[in-house]
Amino acid sequence: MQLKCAIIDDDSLFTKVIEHYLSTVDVIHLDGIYHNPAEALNKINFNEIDFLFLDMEMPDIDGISFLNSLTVVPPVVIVSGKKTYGVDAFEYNAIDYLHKPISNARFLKSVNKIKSFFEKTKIPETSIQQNIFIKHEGVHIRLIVNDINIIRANDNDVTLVANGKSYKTHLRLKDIYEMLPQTEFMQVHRSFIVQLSKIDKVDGEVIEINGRTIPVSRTYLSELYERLRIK
Amino acid sequence: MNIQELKNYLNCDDAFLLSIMQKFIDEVIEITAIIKTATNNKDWVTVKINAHKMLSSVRIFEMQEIITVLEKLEIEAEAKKNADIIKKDVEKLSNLIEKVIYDVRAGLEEIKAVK
Repeated sequence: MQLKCAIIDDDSLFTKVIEHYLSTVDVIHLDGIYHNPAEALNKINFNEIDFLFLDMEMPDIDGISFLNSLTVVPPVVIVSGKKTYGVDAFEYNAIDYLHKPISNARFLKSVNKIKSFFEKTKIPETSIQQNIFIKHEGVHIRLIVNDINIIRANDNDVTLVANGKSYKTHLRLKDIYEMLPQTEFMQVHRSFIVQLSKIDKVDGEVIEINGRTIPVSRTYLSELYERLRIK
Repeated sequence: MNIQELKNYLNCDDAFLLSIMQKFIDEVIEITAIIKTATNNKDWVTVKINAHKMLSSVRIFEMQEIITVLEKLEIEAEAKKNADIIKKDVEKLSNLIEKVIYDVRAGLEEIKAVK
């Protein structure tokens, strides 16, 4: 298992220490350090990282506001100089809550918690369907599952959107759904299935993926919000 | 400040310890100056933010006396309390930081000498 993380904390001495701790841990790769939460919002590709170390007390945007501003909330390790964020840590399903300063011994305990969190939640890669074949214009085409953003049921066929291209197939929406890892995909409307990690925006009963808006049925709305960890 | 304890706490070698101590010195000098200027300008938000920022650093080095002053300063600045009280605390902080920098620099020299 190799996990990618980012650190968001305005305290550069602390981030230097955590960077040092992480350099001794094989399982976690540090993708970036952000001393400014606004910069983190612009630069972090949340589809690329597995979790965040997030400071709660930063000028301009605090940790809670930062989490609330995200469409998809990644797992977090909450960090704070105060002991008052335990409830928030619980509310945001934080993997761990680290109270500054953090000794190397305490940090290594946290690493074990992080590993255990992802071992429990991540499906072994071998069990995930990596690609599927669909019949498009008479030819069987291999599509990489991770490239598929949207699957739309039309009157007589189904369109799969993958890597910006559209593929039409005569399979039923239900059949395609069964071919896909359902931890990654979700039916959001009787005519739409989407890959959750590709959602860019959620606005009430509408989601946006790569500039395309997709309606969400009320039947699926609460499940969608839950799966995206939107409060 | 006990250097060996700090090394154990951070589980690091001398090179990293030296870099962290030097960074600490640079930061506290910079933040103390910011706090002093902000206090003169009665900019309590900046005082609070920077007191908090420095707290994080001094906690690593377990500098209890400075921690107490900074915690008090953070609360006072947030409450926008009496400017004279804040000024006195900033003065106290400044004196303590001066002493601490002296100690940390001595620690730095001690490590370099052993190396």
